[in-house]
Amino acid sequence: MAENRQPILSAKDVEIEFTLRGKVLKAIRKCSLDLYKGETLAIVGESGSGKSVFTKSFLGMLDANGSITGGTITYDGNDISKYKTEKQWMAIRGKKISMVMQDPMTSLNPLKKIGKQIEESITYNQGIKGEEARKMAIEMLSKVGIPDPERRAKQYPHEFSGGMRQRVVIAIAAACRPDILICDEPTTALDVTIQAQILDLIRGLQKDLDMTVIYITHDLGVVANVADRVAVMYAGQIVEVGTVEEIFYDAWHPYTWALLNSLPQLGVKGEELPTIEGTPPNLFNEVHGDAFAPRNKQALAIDFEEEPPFFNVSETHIAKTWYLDPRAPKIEQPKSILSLRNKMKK
Amino acid sequence: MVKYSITRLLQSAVTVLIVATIVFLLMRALPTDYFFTEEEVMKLTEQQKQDRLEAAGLNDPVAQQLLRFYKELLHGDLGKSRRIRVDKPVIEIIQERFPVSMKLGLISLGISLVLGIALGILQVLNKEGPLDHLGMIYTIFVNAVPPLVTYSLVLMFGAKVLDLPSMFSKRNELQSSIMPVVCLSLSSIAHYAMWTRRYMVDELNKDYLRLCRVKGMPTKDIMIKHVLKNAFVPLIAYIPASILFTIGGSLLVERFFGIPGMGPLLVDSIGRYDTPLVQGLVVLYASMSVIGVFLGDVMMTVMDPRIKLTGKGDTR
Amino acid sequence: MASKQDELFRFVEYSPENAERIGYSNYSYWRSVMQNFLKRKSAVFMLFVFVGLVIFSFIALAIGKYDWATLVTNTDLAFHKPDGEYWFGCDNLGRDYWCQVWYSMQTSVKLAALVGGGECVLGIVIGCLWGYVRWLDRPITELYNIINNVPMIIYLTLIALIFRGLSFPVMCITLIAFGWLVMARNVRNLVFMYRDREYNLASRCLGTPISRVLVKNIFPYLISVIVLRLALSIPGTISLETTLSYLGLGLGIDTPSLGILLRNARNYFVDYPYLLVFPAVVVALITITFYLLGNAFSDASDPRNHV
Repeated sequence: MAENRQPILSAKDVEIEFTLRGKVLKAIRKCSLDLYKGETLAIVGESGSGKSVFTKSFLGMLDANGSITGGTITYDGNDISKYKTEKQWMAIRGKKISMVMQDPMTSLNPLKKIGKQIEESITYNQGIKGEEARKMAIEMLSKVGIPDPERRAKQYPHEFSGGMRQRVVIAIAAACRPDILICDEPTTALDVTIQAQILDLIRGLQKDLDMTVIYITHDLGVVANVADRVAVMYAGQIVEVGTVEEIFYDAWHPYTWALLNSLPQLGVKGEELPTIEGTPPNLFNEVHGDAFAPRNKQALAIDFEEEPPFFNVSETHIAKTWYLDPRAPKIEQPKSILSLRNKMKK
Repeated sequence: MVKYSITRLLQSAVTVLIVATIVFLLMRALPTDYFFTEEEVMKLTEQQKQDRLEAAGLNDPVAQQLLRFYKELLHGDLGKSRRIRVDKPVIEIIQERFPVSMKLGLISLGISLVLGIALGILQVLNKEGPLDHLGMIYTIFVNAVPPLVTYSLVLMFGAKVLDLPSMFSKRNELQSSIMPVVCLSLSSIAHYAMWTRRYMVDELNKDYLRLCRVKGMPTKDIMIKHVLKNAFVPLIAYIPASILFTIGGSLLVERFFGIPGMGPLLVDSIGRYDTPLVQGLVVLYASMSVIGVFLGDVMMTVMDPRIKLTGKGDTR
Repeated sequence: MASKQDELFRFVEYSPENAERIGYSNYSYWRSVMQNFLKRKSAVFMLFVFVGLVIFSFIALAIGKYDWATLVTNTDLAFHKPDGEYWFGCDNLGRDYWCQVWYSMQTSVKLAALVGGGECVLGIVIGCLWGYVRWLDRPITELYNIINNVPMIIYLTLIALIFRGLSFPVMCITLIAFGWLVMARNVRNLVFMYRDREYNLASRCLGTPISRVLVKNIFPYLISVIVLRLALSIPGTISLETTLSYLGLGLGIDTPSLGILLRNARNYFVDYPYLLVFPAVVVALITITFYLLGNAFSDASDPRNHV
């Protein structure tokens, strides 16, 4: 991987706030992320860490009570975090950045035929109408693996199963021919058996249509399967970014350790499954220092006082933890991670 | 689907029958003097009255009368009016009067639908803006204030400022229909506007709209191509019933403007205890209501591909 | 500074309590309702207007120059314009209009309040049973359909016949007997909808008694609808009474009501607008404020608006 490419999308110190019940919730706190062309980036984190909110801001799809209150998001030379009007977003949505959402059951208009819904995607983003659009829609359907696409295009969403509906949603998103495709937990609502098919499908489309893909997931198995790079998110911040090998075998942030540790696959038979005790912080309140500190059994005093900056582990790997500060005491990565690395070396 | 329709039709017929029976029995509970016209009551002797009652079969046991009633119903015979128009078949009376009501009603329905839906759409497009608030004020006024008051205000304005005739007359039909139609439409416009607005706002919150936004559709297009279409489906369900109800005419408006329609007929026939007429009208109203609901359900199935009708009963 | 910071690079003891400390939500339903309601200044304003009107109606009668009971027809005074002596002028029979208007208003509001309350109670009870007890669904639905299909005035007149004219209590009862229909249907639809929601099923699985499930989970949704219905029912009853009186099927001519007033005036108010304006304004004020009040409260008590 060429390390000094320019990122196609660059988010720096983004802050997003929501007004809820009269109080302000700081959902995203100084979050930074770079996206490079052609890669598959996975954003991992638990529910409520802010993964969806962060990526929705790339499309201007925040809920009405939310707004970007700080930072910049640079795409194609423009700072899209400052976009306010729909006209500005029209240039981005669909054509440049598109999204596959979590729940295929409710993402489709129940009273409209599938074919029509895909055609709309084509018409609004590529300007092709009529018969040609119809043909392209059917082509798209077969590309996503729906058998008998001619007949299926005339059917309604309720005549499709969950997995097939998700394929349709992917078809709609891909038919926009976007540069960046954001997949928000595309397989969470589906059977495990279908999951692999959907992941393969997205991978195929990515190659075919030359897209950059962002996966949002809490499933490390999916990450291992598809990602080139991984970004770990906690309490509204990205805390560690690196290639998929670096994250799995050489992680340095204590939260990443805890995440990897809690994989059932790493558990030892007969021993208690490790979990992360405690709960994420309430983002209605100000967070002092490292957000993960209260739950970290080996926290440093400074974790509670000041927020750590990003430290470089390698050219492609950064982590936001005081452990990497030269003044920090000697810390060893947990046994489970070391053993994983050893296993891989063999 | 066919089986469901037939079951529904039968259920409806039973409901109508029950309603008719209840009214029949209630009518029979009235003192028998009401069988005769006011004149006759005074002039005839007791014996003559008894004879006539006997001849008309009104002294027979109730069950027998009931059966006879059903038989007549099946033959489409609604009896003859006793007091409003003596001895004139009820059916003829109805046939004379309902065209007026229906004509005014249909015109009003058409206007209400067009204006009401347009207003609703404008309100949603201009949500929380001045037009939205104006629409809300209108709706509130029409819904809260007693219709009699609103009609009176219309009358005053129309008669004084616009110089419109204050009573309906067949000779000056066009001009004298203006105020009645306006009055009829007022509350319907508000109703359709509110309905449209509420439904569209509901649809606006649905998930599939987010996908539409994501794939780059501008809001205006989303409103028209997705939201409106979806919002119309339940609205359509009420249209057959509304059309049928125009036959019945509006009690208040017709009385207020002196329109010789179905409304005053009902009020008068009750006021003067013309039992056959009352029965006939009740059967008519009940049938209309029931058929209207049924047709509405049918329309829903046609328009909404999701609905696979099962045998669940529902109320309106 | 650098040295102070360096000190902090030591391990700290882990405290499980700290790990669990999250801001808990002290959401109280009724408090949210109050907050939401008071936020809408228009609603609070309406409240004052309404209460003011009601109180004023009592005052108005007290300070009015004439008492309802002692009104006498006096054709000399017919259509007397409003002036210092007769604040609202006189009607076509020369009777003081001021006390007529305010007295009628009181009657109408009293009727509406009683009917509203009765509808409420009856409607909620039947609605809950209807929605919750499965085997009652069919019979009550049939009953509803039957009552619904017959134009109300038929029942009204028949009852009038039986009771020889519609006195105030009879009118009350009759209107309640029809009013419960809509309330019951609304309640039933809601109970139906929420009864089988997963969180209620889960509660029941965990052993929560049904009464608690009903009160804590389903009831907040009901309140919004009930209040809305009530808010609509009161102006609705006033409207209904007005219409019925106009058609001659309402309260007797002896009992004053807005409908009778308007009926008497219908022929004259085109020429003497004040005959219409005074009652119209009073009625409009009452109905509109109540309507708005009810809507505001209903919005405030809808849990989905507590964001």
